[in-house]
Order: sequence, then C-alpha cells, then structure tokens
Amino acid sequence: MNSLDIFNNSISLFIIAICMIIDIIRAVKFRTREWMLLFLYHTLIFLSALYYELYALLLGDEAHSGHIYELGCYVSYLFLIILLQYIREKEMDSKRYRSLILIPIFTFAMAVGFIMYSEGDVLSNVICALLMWMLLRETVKGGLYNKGKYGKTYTSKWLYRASFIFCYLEYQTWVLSCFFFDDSWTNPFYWSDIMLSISYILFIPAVDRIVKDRVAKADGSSMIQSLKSGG
Amino acid sequence: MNYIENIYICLAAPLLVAVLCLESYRRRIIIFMLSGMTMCLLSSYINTFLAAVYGLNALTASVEISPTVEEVMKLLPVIFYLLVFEPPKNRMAGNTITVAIGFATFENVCYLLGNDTSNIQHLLIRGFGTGTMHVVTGMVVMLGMKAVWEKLWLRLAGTLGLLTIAIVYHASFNILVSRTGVPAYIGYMFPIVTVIAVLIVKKYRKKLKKYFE
Repeated sequence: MNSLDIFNNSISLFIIAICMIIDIIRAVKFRTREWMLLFLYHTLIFLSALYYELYALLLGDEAHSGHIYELGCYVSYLFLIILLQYIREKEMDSKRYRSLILIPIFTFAMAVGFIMYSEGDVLSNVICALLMWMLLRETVKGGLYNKGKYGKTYTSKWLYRASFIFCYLEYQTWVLSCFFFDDSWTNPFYWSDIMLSISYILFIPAVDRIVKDRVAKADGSSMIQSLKSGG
Repeated sequence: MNYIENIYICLAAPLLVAVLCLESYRRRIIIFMLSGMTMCLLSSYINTFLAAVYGLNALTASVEISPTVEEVMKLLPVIFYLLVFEPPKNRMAGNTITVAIGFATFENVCYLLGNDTSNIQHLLIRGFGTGTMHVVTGMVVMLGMKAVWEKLWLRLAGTLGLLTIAIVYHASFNILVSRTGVPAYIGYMFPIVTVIAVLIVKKYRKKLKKYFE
C-alpha cells in the first residue's frame, strides 16, 4: 500500500463520515427504514475503509493482506440491495423484464476477466459478481419501471440513477486497477476511486426525496381522513 | 503456558451449580453467561486451528481470523435460543448482551493470566474497552435479529450485513489494540465512545429530533 492509496482512502473516509452524520441526523428526524438502511450501508463502507487505513498505517507488511476489507465492501452492497428492494416493493408491481437476463452474463464475464487479468481470488470474484448481479438487477428493474413515466412524480428514479452511477464507477475502478499500476496522480485509477467516493453522497438527496415525498403523502392522506371524519 | 480448559472449568463450576439452583429468568441469565464463556473457549480453539492451517502469525490471526470467528461464535447461542424457544422480542437484546459479557469476562481472565497484572490503569482501560467492544458488536447484530425486516431472506441478508459490521468493527479494534501507546488507548476508547454516542442518541432522541427540525 503506497502513500497515494492511503491519501485516497483518507478522502473516502472523510466523505463517508459526512454521509454517515447526515444519515443518522435524518434517521433520528424521520425514523424511517430508508435512512436507517442508508446509514448501515455507509457505516459498513466507513468501517471497511477505516480497517484498510489502520491496516496500512499501523501494520504495513507485518500482516498479510486484509480479507476483512473485501468482506466489508462486498457485504455493504447487501444493504443497498435491501434498500432498493424495500423501495421497489412499495412502488412497483411484479412485472418481468427480459433484458435483466443480460445482467448476470455481464457480471460473470467481468469476474472472469478480473480473474484472468488481475490474477484475483476466484471465490472473492464470484461472490462479488453475485452481489453485483443482485444490485444491478434491482437498479435496472427500477430504472426500466420509471422509464417513460416522466409525466408523473416518481421520486425513486433518483435513487436508481445514483445506484447505476455507483455500479458504473465501481466497475470502472476495478477495470482501471487491472491495467494501470503506477503510483502517481496520472494514474486514472486514483481519480476513478475519488469519483467513486463522491458517488456515495448521491444516495443522500435521492433517499431524501423519497422519504419527504412519502411523509408529504402520509400527511395529505391523514388530512383527508381528518376532514372526512370532521364532515 | 495457560490451560484455558482448566480456567474454564474453575469459572464455569459455580455457574453450573447456580443454573441448578436458580429459576426463571435468573437461570436464563446464568446459562447465557456460561454459553458466552463456552463460545470464547471454542473460539480460541478454532482460531488456533485456522491460524495453523493457513500458516498465519499471531498478529495476522488476531486481525483477520479471530474477529470473524468470535463474532460468529457469539451469535450461535442466541440463534439457537431464537430458533428453538422462539422467545418474545424484548428478551433478545438482554440475552445477547449476557452472552457478550460472558465472552468478554472469560477473554479478560485469560488475558490476565498471560500478561502483566501490575498496571491497574492499563487493566482498567483494557477491561472496559474489551468488555464494551463485545457488548457493542453483540448489540449491532441484535438489531438485525430483532425482526427489523419482515421477510425471511431480508432478515437473513440484514443479519449477515450487521454481522459483517460487527466483524469489521472488531477487526479495527484488534488492529488498534495490537499496537502499544497511543493507538492502543484510542482502540480501547473506540467502543466506549460508540456506546456513549448510542446512549446519547437513545436518551435524547426526541430532543434531537426537535433540534434537527
């Protein structure tokens, strides 16, 4: 781990810490599961980045490479999948989309590529491909449902867009890490990694829109109820 | 050399007698504490076995293997209790904490026997730090078990996610306390600060909500 890695990771830690603070404030204010899930997602990424940073700074070459960092990063997708699934269940019907079949082909083809080019661990890449399949499936499904419905107010579309940008940047960073190895700022991997860190922020306004929309709807329906009972 | 089985027997004997004598919830508390200690003993065997299989040194094993093994093992008695006895939700958090306390107590006893016990300040910080860390990680996992999600697969995925939070938290704690001086003290304060933050949010939730509005 070089100094640029540590610096990059410090930027990530700073950004995710801000996200966590915003999440917990919103979770206390609204007491909704969406904010809690986003808080857990950011917490797991933060702890994984902290583990990586501590490992690099305090242990260095004394210990072997950290598999716990990978575990934390991959399992963090689970919270994002649960969040997307939770929101989709509330807003969507169970329509089937044939184009979703392409997703596992893409994720597993990429996993094979990573195993071949970066000599990565097979099990780790397979688990990652499985999780990315689930995440992309939820993202694309939500995106397809929202397509063509711009006349109406579908606040969740921002969350699917944020999730898609995150998935894209994640794959871009992984691909770049296979081909660029130099430890300088000219390496596009570092810039992609910074963009990936910034993409964590995108989930906050997206979830904020969904929660505020739901609160407004709930207030509206309770007002109608009270008017009906009053009349 | 420490024979932790012998230490375990000495500590477990009075608790086993207490299990036979007590009734109702008091018995349950003692059983969970005993199971926490048992899980700590089994964890140390599994840690040693895995470290030998993968040829890892003590430091790598403590930051890579032991957090995973310990958090999973700590969860097993609670899962058994949940699946077999199907208790009401309000009992779950207390039982998890009791398992964590039993686990931390046995771990501390083994640490005391293997290390210098003359510095009371260090032992005080270590005792509070490790004990609190096990309670924090137990509570994090319990959030998922406490039926936060309605569907079974969501509950399983959520619990796995929370278990991973506990593992990574534990691993970060282990990295910090594996060093000496300032990093170790930061490590011991890490769970204490987490618990204080959680208690503040819990106690002043209504006031905080008004403040943020």
